[in-house]
Amino acid sequence: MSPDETANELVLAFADDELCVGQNHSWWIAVGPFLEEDLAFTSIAQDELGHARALYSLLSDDLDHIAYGRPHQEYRSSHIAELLCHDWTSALVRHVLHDLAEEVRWAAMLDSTWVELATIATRAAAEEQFHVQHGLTLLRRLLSTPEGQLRLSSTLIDLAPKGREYFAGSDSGLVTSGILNTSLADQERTWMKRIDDLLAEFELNVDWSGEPPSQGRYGTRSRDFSTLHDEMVAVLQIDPLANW
Amino acid sequence: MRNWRNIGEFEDFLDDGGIVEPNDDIPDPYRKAVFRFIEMHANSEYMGGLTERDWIPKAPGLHRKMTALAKSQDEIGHAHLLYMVAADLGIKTREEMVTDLLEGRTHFHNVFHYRVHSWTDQIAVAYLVDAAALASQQAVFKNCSYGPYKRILRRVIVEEGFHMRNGEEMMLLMARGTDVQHQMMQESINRWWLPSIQLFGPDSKPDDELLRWHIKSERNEDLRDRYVQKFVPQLLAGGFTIPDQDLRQDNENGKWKISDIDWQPLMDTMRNIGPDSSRRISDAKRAWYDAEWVRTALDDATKAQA
Repeated sequence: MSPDETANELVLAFADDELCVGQNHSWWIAVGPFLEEDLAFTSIAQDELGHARALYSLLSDDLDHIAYGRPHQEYRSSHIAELLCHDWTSALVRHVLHDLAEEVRWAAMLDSTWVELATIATRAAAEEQFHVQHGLTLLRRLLSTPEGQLRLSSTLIDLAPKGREYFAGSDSGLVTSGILNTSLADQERTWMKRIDDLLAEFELNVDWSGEPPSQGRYGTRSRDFSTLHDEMVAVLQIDPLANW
Repeated sequence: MRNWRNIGEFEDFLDDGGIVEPNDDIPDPYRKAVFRFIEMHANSEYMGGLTERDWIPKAPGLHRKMTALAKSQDEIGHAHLLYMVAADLGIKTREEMVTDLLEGRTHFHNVFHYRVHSWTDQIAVAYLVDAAALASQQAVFKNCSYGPYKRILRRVIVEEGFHMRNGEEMMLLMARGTDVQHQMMQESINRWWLPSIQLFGPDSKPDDELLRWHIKSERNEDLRDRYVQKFVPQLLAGGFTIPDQDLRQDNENGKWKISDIDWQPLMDTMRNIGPDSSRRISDAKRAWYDAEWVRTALDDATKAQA
């Protein structure tokens, strides 16, 4: 736990994003387009849950309580992380948007004055290279075909602006105190440029003009969150005091 | 390339502990038998991943969820390796094997035709089913005459050993747990005991070619009996009962004797009409064909690059 409440809130939001995406990726075991993809999604899901666990450990000793035991309004996840993505097209697009965002977010913490956070960021950033490489390689190959363009373009253009929520929330004082080396606004700009550059390779454009979403960061949950959370706690709730 | 003048000479080679490799001039009957065996193993690993999938999102707590994910990743990884070993035999491609499985033309192990109804069912799969599968695989590994399969089994067995120990740890937790947990675990044992026993199959035939060709090294009934002798005491020690009214212990040698097995449920699974066969196969089939465009597009992208 940091004495800086804003720093704690930032870490909580990041952890909740990772928890939701890890949970969502785990849906894809054994039902991906081919076995190598089943393996990749399962492996990435484990990494994301590992990131969530590491980040939660900065805030609490009771990891399962902080991960699963809070009232819905106390979660800080972005709505794009909560999105169920039960079609593989949106699962792939969210994976790319999420991991490109993660890359930027971890980079901003690598030399954090919150030493434990910097340590976690260093390990996670190394893992992210593989996630990003996996997502981008697959997305680029698919977008290079007419069928892939047809299937993926609209999902990309639709979901990308929602990804701005990864950078929503307060970072007041965090750059000054050295918790972050880059403000959330600057991180967001870096991420948007990466998306723009990627899409430009395929002559696609994202309309960034709308109001960036931020409700998730302030306690409003998306419709999908209940489904996600109900599954997370389905067994724990049978006997909350038992050791499972 | 090694070759043999006739099947007798080939069998002498196998009896002397010879190991067959894919570039040998493999006699057709052996090639087909070993292919069918590995294909069924691969199918079962794949369907095993699907069987456990239902409860991974519900796994209680971060640690259990990550462990469950790692286990399923292992199962899918085994399927992946085994399909490649089977494909190298030149009878079917991996795509053909998956398609045959999803169209109901080939088979997978009986245990994966059942539904996982609860978290403790998931534990029973890890503890009872994986242990039965591990015992069978160890028996194949011990004396396996097909080189690539033996090498893959070395890794599969190590990983399945972790799964079984993970299942054992969770079973013991339920044994010492609350009344609700103990009751849930008992219900799961009631559901999974017989399918696990049946996993070994009916007694081996006297002229079983898989034994003769050293693909298998032990008779089904011997493996089954060893499993019973190990698991009955473990379950009883956990305060559980075994769902077999005629189960008894021999006064003289202390060995456990189970009642005669009704093989009809096993036969049903071999015809893909087990309790959860149609849902299992149709879920996998829908996912596979929904994603056909991905496979086609990636093939197109590869061709365009070439």
